[in-house]
Amino acid sequence: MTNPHASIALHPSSCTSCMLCVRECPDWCIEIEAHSEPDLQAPQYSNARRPAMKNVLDSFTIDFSQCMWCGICIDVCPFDALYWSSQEITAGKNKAQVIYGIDELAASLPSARRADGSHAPLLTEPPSGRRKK
Amino acid sequence: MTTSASLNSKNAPAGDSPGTQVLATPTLNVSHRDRAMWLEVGVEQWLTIHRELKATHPRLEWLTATHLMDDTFEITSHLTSPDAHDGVVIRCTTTDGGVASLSELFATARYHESEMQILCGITFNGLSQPHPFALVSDSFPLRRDFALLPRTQRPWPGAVDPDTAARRRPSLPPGVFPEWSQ
Repeated sequence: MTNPHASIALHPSSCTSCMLCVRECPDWCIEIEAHSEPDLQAPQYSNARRPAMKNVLDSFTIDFSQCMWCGICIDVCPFDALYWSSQEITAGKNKAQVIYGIDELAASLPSARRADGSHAPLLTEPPSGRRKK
Repeated sequence: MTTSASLNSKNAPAGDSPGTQVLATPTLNVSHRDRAMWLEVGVEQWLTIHRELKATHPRLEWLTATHLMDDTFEITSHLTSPDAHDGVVIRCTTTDGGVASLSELFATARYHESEMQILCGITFNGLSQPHPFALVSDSFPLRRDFALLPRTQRPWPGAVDPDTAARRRPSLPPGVFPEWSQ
């Protein structure tokens, strides 16, 4: 029997680096590094004081040695970028092996699903929760 | 009328068992939630209520305390009946940090009361031999004014704002007070 809440998966292209999950995490186990750059696809307005910016995700890490599987980050994510996954966290010889980055978090996407049973999108699929322009 | 039936009724009539008589006392604040009966009692009734209820609910499941402010604590105990499969949660609020010990009634109360004594600083009157714990602290970790020093030694990851050009009020870590780092 697989545990549907074994770990947390990330759909990277859905993440907007809004930092909500980082700030809501009671254990401070999520860290995001991101930068902002001009959004070339945004509509250009003549009276805009500064160009429209978008956040670009550089690194997203979850420290599973501190995570207590509360799922608050999954609940607060407004863009459906975080999912429950059935992939177990394997024990590591040191702490660095249980700190998962973008690649490790996205690797469990095929087994990830939301509470209503719907599957997470694959990396090749367009993001599900991003706002439509 | 069985014991469980009398406990599950909101206005239990006075019966033969001592516990039923206590629950029929009109001054008690009785409510039902989480499949258990909740009693709000005064500090002076704390030991008496437990002594009476022990006849029908002989098992003390747990005893815990919540720090409200200064020397005010909310102390909660859970008594269960293995035969009737029901429970009573008893709660009192002490304003001077002291309450009568239940260790003479229930053997398990000694461990729980010793734990709350060392974690919260509550004085349990009549607790003669506290259980030894390995906690080495000059303060009480479960009090609200206890400083969580590891939270001040590590920077909060949520302080990062990817959009550095935006003028926003910086976010502060919730539950971390500036007095802790002094």
